[in-house]
Amino acid sequence: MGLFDKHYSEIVTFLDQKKNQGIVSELFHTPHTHGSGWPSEKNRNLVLGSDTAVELGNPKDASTSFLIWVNQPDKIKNGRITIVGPDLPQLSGQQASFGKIVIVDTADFNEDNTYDRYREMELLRYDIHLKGYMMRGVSQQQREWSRVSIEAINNGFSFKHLGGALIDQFSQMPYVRSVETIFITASKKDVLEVKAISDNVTTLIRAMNKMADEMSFDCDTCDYSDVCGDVAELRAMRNALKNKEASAHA
Amino acid sequence: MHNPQNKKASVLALCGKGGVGKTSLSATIVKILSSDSNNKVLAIDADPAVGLSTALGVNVTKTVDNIRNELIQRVESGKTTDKAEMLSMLDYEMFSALEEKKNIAFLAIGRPELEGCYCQVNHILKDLIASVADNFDFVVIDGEAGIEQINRRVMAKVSHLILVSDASAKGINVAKTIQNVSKTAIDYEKAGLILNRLRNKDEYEKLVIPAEIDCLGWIPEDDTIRSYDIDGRSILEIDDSPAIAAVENCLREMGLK
Repeated sequence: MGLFDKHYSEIVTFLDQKKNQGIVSELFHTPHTHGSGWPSEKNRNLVLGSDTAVELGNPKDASTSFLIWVNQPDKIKNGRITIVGPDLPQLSGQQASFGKIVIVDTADFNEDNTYDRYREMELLRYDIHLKGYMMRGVSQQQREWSRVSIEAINNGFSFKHLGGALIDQFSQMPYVRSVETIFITASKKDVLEVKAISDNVTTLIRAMNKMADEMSFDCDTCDYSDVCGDVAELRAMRNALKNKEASAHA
Repeated sequence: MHNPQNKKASVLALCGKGGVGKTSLSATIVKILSSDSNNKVLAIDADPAVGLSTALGVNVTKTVDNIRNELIQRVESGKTTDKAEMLSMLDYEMFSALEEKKNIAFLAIGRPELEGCYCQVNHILKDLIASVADNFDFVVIDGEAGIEQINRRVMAKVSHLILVSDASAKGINVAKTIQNVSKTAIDYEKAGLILNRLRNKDEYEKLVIPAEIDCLGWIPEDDTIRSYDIDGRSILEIDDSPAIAAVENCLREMGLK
């Protein structure tokens, strides 16, 4: 079992349910070759309310954004962009709850490199600067708050561009074999359903963060000992860190 | 955004002795600059009393100092994260502290509750304010009496330093001192004095303005602004008044209109 295999299955189940409701659409982006097809805007990326066509994941609405990685190439369709609910042009003039999931198929992850690679991938979304798209994210709460400008929507900006930019960004990592993205805009209820999966992902991420930040291996006092007890990959990471620390002090 | 990528925002900082009407004047400047709907204006209330919010009819829910204090408490309780993650969190919080009204955004600096040296935090927050400000055409800072606090807690650079005084010799002396201190305390391009709440032209002509100060003009005592101030109503609601026309002239003198 991989670290997030269970969560991946839950996402697939969620998508199957939504497909049955007829609210899922799929697009494909070819990584590297086409680019996202949208101009970038590096510094001045603030979209004010008066210029906003679509606002997603405002702190008053539900929001979740997370990343998982699996090590099974057959599971991920590279370049797939799945949209649960309306795409951005259909949301024009609205404020909506928002969910975003990035799933990557990775190679050669082990207990020594997983945490660093996670950190590297987690920060990739902040390197996306698309004209008329503003994103503010807070990893600790797995929230993402974004706005798309009226001008961008009028010029045809959609999840095809945002998903494409994300896929391109992740595809640059040498250990990423394939990437897909899922956007959820259907309803607050749907976003909260995904957030329940995200909360479990967050628990594993926090356990990893704690191990890396504190280098404390006292399992009796650790808040995450249950999680480590259940997840073999976390135990392996903890043991690798413990051995590293022991050899440093030898 | 109206402001093209290569154009820096004009940053106006208003300083002067307490009680000379900096806040009403700041709100009036925001009103004038935002009357062109193509202009994006960021109003920063750097006065701990947070009076500019009332003058602009804005409800403040979070200040930069709230963010600062939360961060310090987080660091002190050991809940630290790496720098990149901390920056993204602060950026999110900073954006959530922005109150928006059409083409105006408002940011309150607040009052520091935690004493001590947190220079690194202040630097990060100043960088974030600067990066937010970069998205606007104009930034108007309603400051405390001195310029040092703006440098320390808001921005290291302003383009236009606006000294504000009433007709009192004390007010004009404070303005002169601020200009002198500013030469070493902060980077600015232009400085000028606005004489606020004067009774009439005669009063203006009798005033002795130090030669080193560039006087931009004078603003008449205005009953409309005064009554809005007393009632706690937003200056943005005023259609027109002699004071607003006079402030426009001063902005023209500074090349801002």
